[in-house]
Amino acid sequence: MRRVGLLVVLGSVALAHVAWGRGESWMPAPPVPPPLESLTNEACYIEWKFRTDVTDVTTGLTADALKKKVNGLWRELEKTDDWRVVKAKCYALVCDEMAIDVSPLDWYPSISVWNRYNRPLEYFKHGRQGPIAAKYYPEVRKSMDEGNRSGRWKMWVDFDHSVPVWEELIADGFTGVRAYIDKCSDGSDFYRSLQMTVEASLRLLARMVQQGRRNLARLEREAASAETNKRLARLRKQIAALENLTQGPPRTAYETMLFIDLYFFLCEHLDVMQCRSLTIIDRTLWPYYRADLAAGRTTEAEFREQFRHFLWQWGSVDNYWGQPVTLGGTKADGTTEYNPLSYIILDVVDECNLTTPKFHAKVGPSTPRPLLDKLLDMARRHRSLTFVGEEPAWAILESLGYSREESRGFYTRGCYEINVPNGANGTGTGYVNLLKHVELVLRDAAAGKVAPVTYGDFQVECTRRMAETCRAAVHNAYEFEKHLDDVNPANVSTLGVRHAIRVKKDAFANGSERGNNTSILVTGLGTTVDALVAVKELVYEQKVFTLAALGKLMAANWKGHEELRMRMLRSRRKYGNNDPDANAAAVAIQEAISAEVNHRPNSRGGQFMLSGHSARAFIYSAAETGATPDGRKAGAQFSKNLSATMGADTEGVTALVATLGALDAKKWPGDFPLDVMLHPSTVMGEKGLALMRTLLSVYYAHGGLQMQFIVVSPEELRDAQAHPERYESLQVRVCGWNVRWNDMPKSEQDEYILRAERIMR
Amino acid sequence: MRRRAFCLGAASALGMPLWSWAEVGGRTLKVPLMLDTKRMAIHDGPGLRTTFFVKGCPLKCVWCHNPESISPKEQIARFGHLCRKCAKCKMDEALCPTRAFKRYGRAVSLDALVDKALEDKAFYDASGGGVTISGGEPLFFWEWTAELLARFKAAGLHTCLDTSLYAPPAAIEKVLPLVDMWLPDYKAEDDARHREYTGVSNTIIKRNLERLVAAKAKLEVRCLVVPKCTDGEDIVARHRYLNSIGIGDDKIVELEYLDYARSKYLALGMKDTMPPR
Repeated sequence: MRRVGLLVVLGSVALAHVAWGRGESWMPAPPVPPPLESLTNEACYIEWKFRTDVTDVTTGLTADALKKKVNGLWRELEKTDDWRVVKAKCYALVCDEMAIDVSPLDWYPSISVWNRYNRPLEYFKHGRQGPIAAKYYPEVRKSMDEGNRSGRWKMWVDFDHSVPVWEELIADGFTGVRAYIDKCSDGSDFYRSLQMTVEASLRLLARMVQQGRRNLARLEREAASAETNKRLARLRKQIAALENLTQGPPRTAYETMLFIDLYFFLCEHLDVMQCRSLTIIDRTLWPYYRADLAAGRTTEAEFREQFRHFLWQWGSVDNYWGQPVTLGGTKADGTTEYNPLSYIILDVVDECNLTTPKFHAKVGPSTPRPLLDKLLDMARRHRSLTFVGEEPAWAILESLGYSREESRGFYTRGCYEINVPNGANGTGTGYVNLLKHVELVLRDAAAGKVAPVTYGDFQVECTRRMAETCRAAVHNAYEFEKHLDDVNPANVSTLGVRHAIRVKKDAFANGSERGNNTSILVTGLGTTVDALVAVKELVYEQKVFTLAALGKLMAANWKGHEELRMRMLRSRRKYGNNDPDANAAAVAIQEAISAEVNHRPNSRGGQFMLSGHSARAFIYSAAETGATPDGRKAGAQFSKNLSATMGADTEGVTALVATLGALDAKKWPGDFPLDVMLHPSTVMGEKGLALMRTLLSVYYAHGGLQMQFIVVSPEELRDAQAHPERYESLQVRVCGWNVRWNDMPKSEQDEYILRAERIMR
Repeated sequence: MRRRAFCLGAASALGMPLWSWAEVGGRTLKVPLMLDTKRMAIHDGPGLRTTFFVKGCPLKCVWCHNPESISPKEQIARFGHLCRKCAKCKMDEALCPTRAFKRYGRAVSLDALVDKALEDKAFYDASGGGVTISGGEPLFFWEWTAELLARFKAAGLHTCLDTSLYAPPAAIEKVLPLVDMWLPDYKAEDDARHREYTGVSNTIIKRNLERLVAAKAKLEVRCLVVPKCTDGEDIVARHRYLNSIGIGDDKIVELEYLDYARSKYLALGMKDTMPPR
C-alpha cells in the first residue's frame, strides 16, 4: 500500500541529512529513500516528501506518466495553438491529473511532481531552446557555443530567477488574480492562457480539499488518541485553509504560508520557472500573525510548528542553489521592519538548521541590536545566513534609477542579487571567465602575436579583451532574451505581476513594471588580479622572463620551475591583502568591464548589470583555464565571489575588507558579495559578536553589500573529513548558499581545509 | 646603576648578543626584530586591534607559549610533522611546499609599523580599538617602544602595552604618558617561585605595578594559572597583593594555561620546559 498519509504510528526512520535528487553530473547520487510505510511521523514525512513520491496513487498520475502525456499533448497542439496556450493546456493537464495528498502529518499538501529534475513540462524550459535558437538567433547561439567551448564564458538562457510582486499577489489570492485577468482580457490567446492557468490552479486546490476530506473521514474512524486528535485538528485547519484559498486571498498567517508554498510549487515544479524568493517573510506574516493571536485563531506554538513545516518543504526539496528568503528592513519612517515575529522565525530557523531556505537579513541603522546579535550568533554556529547592508543596497539601487522608496523594499532573488519589488524578474545569463583572458594574452605573447612593452600595455591588452568578451556577452543576451517567452512562456509567473497582466506582457520576459534586468556575472576577479601583478613582477620589474617566455612556461604548466611557482603562490602581493598594485589592477578590470555592462538597456525593458558572485564557476571555469603566473597550476580553482584566491589573503579579514573598499560597489549592481572566514575562537562570546558587528559596519561603510561568515577551524574540518558521522549537521558556506560538509566532494573539502589553514595559521 | 644591573641580569639569562642598534630620530636605539603582526586581535585590549610582537624577552618562563619570542635573534623553525624531507631542501619558508619551515624575526622600520597600523584605522574607530605592542618584552627595548608609541599617538591611535613589567623605572616613566592601557602580567606572588619559573625576581615588577597604580594608569592585569606552579595559594596571594595596592578584581583577568606550544619548542630545537596541564 503506497498510502502513507493516514498511517499514524510513530516511526523511527533516522533523519539522514543528505543531499538527494540531484540532476547534474557533479552532484552526489541521491540516497535510496526509506520504505514509504515507514514515513509515519511528521519529521520523516516532511523530510522525504520531496525526495520520493508520497502521494496517494488513487488521486492521479506519477510525474513520469504525466511527462509522457504532456509530451504527447504539446506535440499535438503546437501546430494549431499559440505556444503560450499550449503551455497553459499542458499545465492544466498536470493540475487535473497529478497525484496529490493532503496528509495529517504535514501542514502543506504533497504533489507527485516532487523531483525538480523530472518535471512533466521540462521541454518548455530546455527542449524548446534549440528550435527557437535555430529560428531566431542562430549566429548568437554559435557565438555562445564558441565561448562555452573555449572557456571564455559559460552562457545559457536563464529561467531561474522569477519573483512575483508578492504583496499584490498575496492581497489578491488566486481568485483576485482571476478577476483581474477577466477585467483586463481582450479575448486574446495571452489572456486565454492566463485564464486557463489560474482556473487549473484553482481546480487543483479544489482537488486538494476533496483529498483532505477523504483523509479526514478515514482518520476520524481511527481510535482516538492525543496524537490522532492533534493530527485531526491539523488536517481540519489545512482543509479549511485550502478551501478558503479557492474562494479568496489568504486571511491568516498560516493561509499566507500555504499560499506562498502553493504558488512556489505551481511556478517551479509545474510551470518550470524557478521562483527565487519566498517574500520578506517576517514583514509579510507579521500583520496576519498579530491579528490571528488577537482573535484567538492560533497560538505561538502552533505557528512555530506551521513555520517549521514551511521551512522543511524546501529543506526536503534541498535544491543545491538554495531558496532565498529575505528578513527585515526599514520602514519609510526610518523604524525597523523587524518585529516580534522575526525572533520567533529565527528561533525556528535555528532549530531546523537547514541549508535551505537560506536567509538574507537586511542590516541597517534601524536594525535592533538584540536581533542583529541573534543573527550573528546563528551565523557563527553555521546557520545559513547572509547579511545584506541596507544603506549600500539603497545607494546601488538608486544609482540604477530607482527611487529611495522603491529601493527600501528590496529583497534578494537568487544567490545574492537584490531587486526592487516591482522589477524582480531578472536573469543571470552566464559567467565571463576573467582569468582566461590573461591566459590567452600570454599564449599570444608566446606565439609572438602580441608584445606589450610596459606592464601598463600588458594590463590594457588583458582588460581590453575582458571588455570585448563582456560586450559580446551583452550582445548575445540582448538577442536571445527577446525570445524568452517563445521558449518558456511564464504563465504562473505572470499571474503574480498585475502590471504584466495589465499591459499584456509575459512577466518574466518583459512584463515587470520597473523592467526586467539581466546580470552578466564574472568569475575569478581575485586570481586574475594576482596573475596580472605576478606578470608585473616577473616580466616588467624583476625581468626574470620575457612575456613570451612566461607564456611558454604557462603553456608547460610551470614545468621545471617549481620553486618559482611556489614563491609566486606565496607572494603577499595578492588581491585581498590591500596591496596597492593589486588594488589598482582590480580597479582597472572593474572599470573596463563595468563600462561594457552597466546601464546598457536589455531587450526586456530593463538594463544589464555586472554581478560579482561566482556560484560554482570558480570550479568549472577554472578547470578550463591553463596555468597562470600567480603560481596557480592549470585547472586549479580560482577565487570565489569577490573574495581572494584561496589562501592568498594572508593579511587577514580587515585587509580583505579594505581591498573591497578599493572597488566601487555601484559598479557591481547585480551583487557585491564577500565571504569572511573566521576561526571559532575569534567569534566566541560578546567580544566575538562585537568583532562581527565591526566587520559588518566597516564593510558597509566602504560600500560593501553582502557579507557572509564562515566560522570553522581547520582542525574541526580535518576531524569532520575523518569522521563524517560526527559532523552530520556541519554546514559551510559555498556561495550564496550553505552546503552540508558531508555532501561536498573530497577535493572541495581539501580546498576548504587549505584555505582555513592559510588564513588562520 | 639599577638599569645596568637589570640589563646585565637579562644578558646573563639569555646569552649575548641580545639586540641590534639603530639610529632613530637622531638617537641610537636598541631595536628589536619583529616576530609577527596580528591584525583583528580582540583579546589584546578593547575593540579590534593590531598587535605587534617584538622578538626578545629577559624572562624565561617555563610555560612560555611563544618560545620563538624569547631570543632576540632571527630563528628558523622546522616543524617535523610537516616536513617531507625533500632532497633539495633549502630550509626556506618561502619555498617549502608544506610550510614545514618558518622564519621568526624580521627587521621592520618604525614607519612601516605605523603604516601597517593605520591600514585598519576604520576598524579601530568602529570598535573603540587601536594598537597593542606585545612580545617578547617590548620594554626590553623601551626607548624604541617609546618612539613607536609616540608615533602611534601622533597618528591618533589608542595604545596598549602588553608587558611583564620587568623593566627599569626609567622605561616606565618614559612610556607612561604614551600608553592608554596597560596589560601587565603578574606571574607569581612568591618571589622564590617567580625566580624558579621565570628566571627573575618579581621585585622590579611589583615596584613598577605600584608605580602604574600611583599614576592612575588604566590597566588590566593578566594572571596565568599554571597547574601545580602558580595555581592554588599563589593565585589567592596574587589577588591579595593586587587588591592591596588598589587593583580590584574587576581589573584582574585569570588566564587558562594551555600547553599547545610544545611543537614550537621542538621545531626551534629548544628544550620543552612547559609544565603539564
